[in-house]
This record gives sequence, structure tokens and C-alpha cells, in this order.
Amino acid sequence: MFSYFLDSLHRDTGKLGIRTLVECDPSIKSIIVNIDNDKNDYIIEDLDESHLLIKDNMVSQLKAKLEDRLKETVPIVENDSDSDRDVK
Amino acid sequence: MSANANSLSQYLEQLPGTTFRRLYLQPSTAFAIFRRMLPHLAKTIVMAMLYMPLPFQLSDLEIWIKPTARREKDQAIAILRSLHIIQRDTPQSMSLTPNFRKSLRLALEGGGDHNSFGVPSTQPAPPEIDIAFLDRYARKKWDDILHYVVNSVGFSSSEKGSNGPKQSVKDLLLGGRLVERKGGGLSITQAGFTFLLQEANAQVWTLLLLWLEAADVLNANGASRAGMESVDMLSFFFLLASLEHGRAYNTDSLPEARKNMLPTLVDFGLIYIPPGNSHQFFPTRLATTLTSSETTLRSVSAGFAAANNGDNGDATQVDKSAIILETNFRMYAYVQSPLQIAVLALFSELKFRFKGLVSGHLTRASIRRAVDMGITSDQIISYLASHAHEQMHRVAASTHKPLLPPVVIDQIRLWQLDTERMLATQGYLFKDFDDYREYIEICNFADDIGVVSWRNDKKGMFFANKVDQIKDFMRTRKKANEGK
Repeated sequence: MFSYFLDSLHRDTGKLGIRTLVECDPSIKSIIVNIDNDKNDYIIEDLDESHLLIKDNMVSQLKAKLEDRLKETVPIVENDSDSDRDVK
Repeated sequence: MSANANSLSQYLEQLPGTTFRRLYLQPSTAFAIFRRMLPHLAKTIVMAMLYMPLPFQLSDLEIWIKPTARREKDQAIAILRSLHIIQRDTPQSMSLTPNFRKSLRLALEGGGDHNSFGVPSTQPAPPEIDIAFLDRYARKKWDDILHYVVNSVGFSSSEKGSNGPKQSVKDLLLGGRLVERKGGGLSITQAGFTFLLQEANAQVWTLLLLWLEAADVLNANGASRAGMESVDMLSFFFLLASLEHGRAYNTDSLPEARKNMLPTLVDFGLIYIPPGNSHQFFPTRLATTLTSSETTLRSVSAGFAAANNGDNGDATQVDKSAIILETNFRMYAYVQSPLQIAVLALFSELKFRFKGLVSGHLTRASIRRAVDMGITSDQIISYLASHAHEQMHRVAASTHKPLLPPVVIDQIRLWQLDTERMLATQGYLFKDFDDYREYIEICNFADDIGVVSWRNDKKGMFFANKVDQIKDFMRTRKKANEGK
């Protein structure tokens, strides 16, 4: 049994390659799950409410998609740092 | 440990054991690694084992270390093993690797004819070469390099006196992608920005490691005329680090390959060779502090000032107290130099520029841009803090408030968090254990050596970012179980 596990570890590290653990807020996680629903090509395993296991080669693509989604849903406030404005 | 130890240890970790065996032939290398790369507990363990005639029983080590410090012990052992300083003889005992043991003993006791700590020159040193001269010289050389990197941002240099670093150094910066060619001009890369904000010592190591990699590539192509080899180069760096600042050393005693390295080291400003006498070289502070943890010529911030003030002497005097940061996110900076303005422009939106003063805003967009370039909020905050204007210090002291407005600091951090909605860690998921006991043993071991990024005891799974030592542990555990 144990050797089976070692083998599976080698297979994991060898064939499937390294994976990526993604840690995020539950709200962000639900967006990622939603993105994944299209083709199911990002998420390998749903670990808990704030952790996901993602295919390693898809991480940057996922990040970009997440950015896009957030841009749609979260309004970007310009100059939210300054109370008294300069003349532009 | 500072950033340079990180990049250096990353480089060392991927070297094979045979390379280490050769590196440790030199007492200076063994000693440098010992004093620079090891945490205190690891040093203590090495010193304890150094004169042990027999392999050290792991059970004895357990007795020495308080149970509460198990994690530290396991981490120390992990580092020692990754640097090939200790080896397991049997599952229950370990010893120092023979070359390391021999070299470290030689380094401590003296003796041998290895010339590993340099051969002082017997000729009289020219009187004008003193420590101040060497510091000035090294600073000039290094600032030329920094200038070259920063000027690629697009702020042309007003200084005509310096003609920049040598072509070889430029090629190295290009090859290491600190700057890249874009449409005829040069532009700085993300790695370049990180390089700029590093401490001088870390910068030197970055450049040296780039050089090593370039040499490796040349060797692989069979194109190396100089016969330089990265293992020998690395041990020569460690040798330089052990030399005495301000003293003349003999070039004739160096082997041919190392002599060939001298011109490049001169270009970096690590050594000085007097024009009329090529039989002597002087290590500068950049070289002699390579493996010590004390700051080299100066801090980052002072470095920026020095880069513009050339040989004006004490760099720290010119630079301090320049920036006023208000609670409304406005920033006023009393700076002259294009270099410093370029740095400010990295993370703020500059609005006005007067003679001796620029003013601007910190905005979500500007901080975001900086973060995208690889600058962290902490780097920005520490830059602002170390450059705060005297008036800021006075007000802070009289009202007992923090130096920088907390609202701005928090906001900078929040803006950075905004860009990091998800935190990605590479590694491996361990699951499907035979039983819970097996899971808990392996997971606890991995946690103790500090590689677990997530664990769920209920599901019996954990995620580790490094796997080699876990594999070893599982193998030994399996053997032990079979033996039962």
C-alpha cells in the first residue's frame, strides 16, 4: 500500500507536473469556480472554502480572467485618495 | 538574512553534490558558506560536530535540543543537508562531509599551503591608495552601473563626466534582462526595478550570479577562451570576500583562470589594480563584505543619492530628509537629481516640478503600476520613511505620532492587496494516505521543516511547496516500518 503511494507521488510529480495551490477569499473563490464552469480546465480539486488546487500551466491565464471579471463587477474609483482636487 | 542570501542560496541549492565537494576543497569557501549561509542553530550544530571522531547519533541531537525548538532544529538540518555540509551515514547518524570538515578545520586552525585566503603582495603599496580612495573608487564604479540601469527609464543623464560601465557589464545587464532593448533605446525591466531597490550587497551578488550563468552558457557552447569555470569562479568570489580591505594582494600567485577574471572584477569595482603595477590588486569594500551581513558601502536610499553626487564624499549627508508626505496623499520632495525623481515617479503621479522640488500624488493607479512592476508596498513605505523630511521627524516627535501618516501607509498596503486577490503557491498535494497515523506523521514532519502551505486534518490532505525531503522522510519511514 505504501509503495503504491510513493509511486503515485512519482507519477504526480513526473507526469502531471507541479500543481498550484490558490488561496483566496470565499467571494473570489466563487468567481473562479464560475469561470471554471465554462470548460472545467482550471480547477483540479476544490479543497475548502478558501483553497483550490489549480493546474499549474493555467495560473496566469486564470489571473487575467479574474482581473477581467473584477473589472466588470467592481467599479474603479478614480482619485479616491484625495479630498481636495487639483485643477487638471 | 537579507535578499542576497536568498538569491545566493537559491543558486547554491540547485548545484549538484559533486560541485559542493569541489567547492569545499577551498577553506575560504567552506568558511564563507559557514558564516554567511547558516542560521545560528545550524552553526552551533556544525561547530559541535567539527571535532567529533565518530558519526553523530541523531538521538543525541534530540537530547541537546529543547522539544520546543524542534522546528528550528529540523530547519537547520534541512539547510545543512541542502548545502551538502552534513550527510546521513546511517538512518540514525550523520556526519560532516569530509571536504567541508577538513576545510573548515584548516580555516579555523590555519596551516596548509592552499593559499585560499589570498597571498599578500610583498611590494610596497602606493601611498595614495588608502581605504577612502578605494571606497570612492568602488562607489564610482558601482554608481556607473546603477546609472546605466536607471537611465534606461528615460531620464537622460545630465552627467557627462562618466561614460558608464564597460560594454561587458552592459552585456551582462542585458543578458540578465535587468534592462532590455526596445526600439533602439534601452528600457528597464521588472527585474531591473527590483535590482535598483536592493541593498548594494544584494546587487553585487545579483550581478556576480548573472556573470556565473553567462560563463556557464559560454562553456556549454565551448566558446570560452578564458577557461573560466563557474565552480572556480564561485570559490574565487568567496576568496575575495575573505580578504582584508585596504591591503595589497599578489596577482602572480593566482592561477591563469582567475587572472582572467580580474578585468571584469575591475569593471564591477570589486577590486582595484594600480595603473602602473599589474602585480598587485586591492579588494574594495564591495568585495570584502560579500559574505558578511553588515551593510556595504551604504543603504539603498543613500545609494540613490550617491549615484548622483558622484564623488562628493559622504553620501548619506546629501540625501536624508527630502520627502514630505501629507495625510491627503500629497507628496512634496526636495530633490534635484534625475535619478531620485525617476525613483519617485515609479510609485507616484508627479504633478509639478520646480527647481529643487517636485510634488505629486500617491494614487491607486500609481501604486498599482509600481506593484505590477514588482515593487512591494513595503519597499515603497520604507523608501518614504527613510527619506522623510526633517520637519516630518520633528512633528512626529512632538506629537508622539508615527512618522508617516498611518492612513496613507494603510492605504498603500490595501492598494497592493487589491492586486493580489489570489495567492498562488506551487507545489504538490499529498492525499490518499493509508491511515491517519501515516498522514499525521508525514504532515507534521513537513510542517516542522516549514514546507506546508495548507493542511486539512479532517480530510487527511496537505499541500507542500517542496517535496524532496518529504520523499526522503517517507522512504526512511517505510524502511523503518518494514523492519518491524
